[in-house]
Amino acid sequence: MADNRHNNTADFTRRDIYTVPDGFFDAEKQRLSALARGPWQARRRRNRRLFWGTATVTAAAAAIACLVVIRPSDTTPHGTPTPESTQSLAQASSDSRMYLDMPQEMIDNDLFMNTY
Amino acid sequence: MQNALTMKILRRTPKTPSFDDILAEYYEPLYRHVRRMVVSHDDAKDVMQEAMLRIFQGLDGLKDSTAVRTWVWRIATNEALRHLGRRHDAELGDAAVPELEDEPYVDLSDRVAVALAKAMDALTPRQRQVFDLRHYDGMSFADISAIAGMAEDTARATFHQARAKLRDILRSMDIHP
Repeated sequence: MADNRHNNTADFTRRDIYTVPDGFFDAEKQRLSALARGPWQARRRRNRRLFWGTATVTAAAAAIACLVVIRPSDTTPHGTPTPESTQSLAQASSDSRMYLDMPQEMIDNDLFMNTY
Repeated sequence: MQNALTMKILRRTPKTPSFDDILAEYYEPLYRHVRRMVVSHDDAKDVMQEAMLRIFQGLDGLKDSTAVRTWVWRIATNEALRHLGRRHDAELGDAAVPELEDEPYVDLSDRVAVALAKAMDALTPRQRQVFDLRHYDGMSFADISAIAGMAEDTARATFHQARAKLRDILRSMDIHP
């Protein structure tokens, strides 16, 4: 703490004019110690337990929801052609293509297709 | 071998003090600092309660136990600044601000000390904080910068501004420090 003359306040009085009631500091230290460990602290512990309990349940629910919605094995979206399917379609006969282009309703109602 | 190593680490790692240790060591100097900032005994008591409970809450998460001193001072002084900010807002709303003479637990016998306390009321909260930490608590500018969250040069400049302002005010009261 090397100070020059400009960094000190020796010319100002250091006398503190503020006083406290008798025994204030000891009483206040005891009161605050008890307050920190008393019902206030118990409530804080309970709130903390409640917070972590809620957070754990929420995290577990979110994880389950993710597993249900985004199945790891089902990464290719429906209707998106893969290279293999594109190649198979290119090699299909004109009859097969016509069949594939048919509306589902027509296939369902086709008497010959559904007989066997 | 392992015990020796453990003992070595324990010797090197400073233990985080308990809340009671902090109360015992810091309550009184922190109260005096806060009191000079907020003036009223009741306000200082309230500010200190908030500050000490914040210290209690943060004690578990305190990473650097060597910095306890600056940490507790920072919490208390920030709490005092928050109180001054609230009071400033109330003043704008025409709330009455108590005079020093009306306050209980004030020793008005020393004319110069009373004049200095009154003059400090004219400082900005930041100037008041820096001047108080330096003048009454004898802190280094390095400590003040850590406590007040400002660069050391800024702390130094703030202190000089506060001192010049106080000198002018005291001279106007015909007191020559």
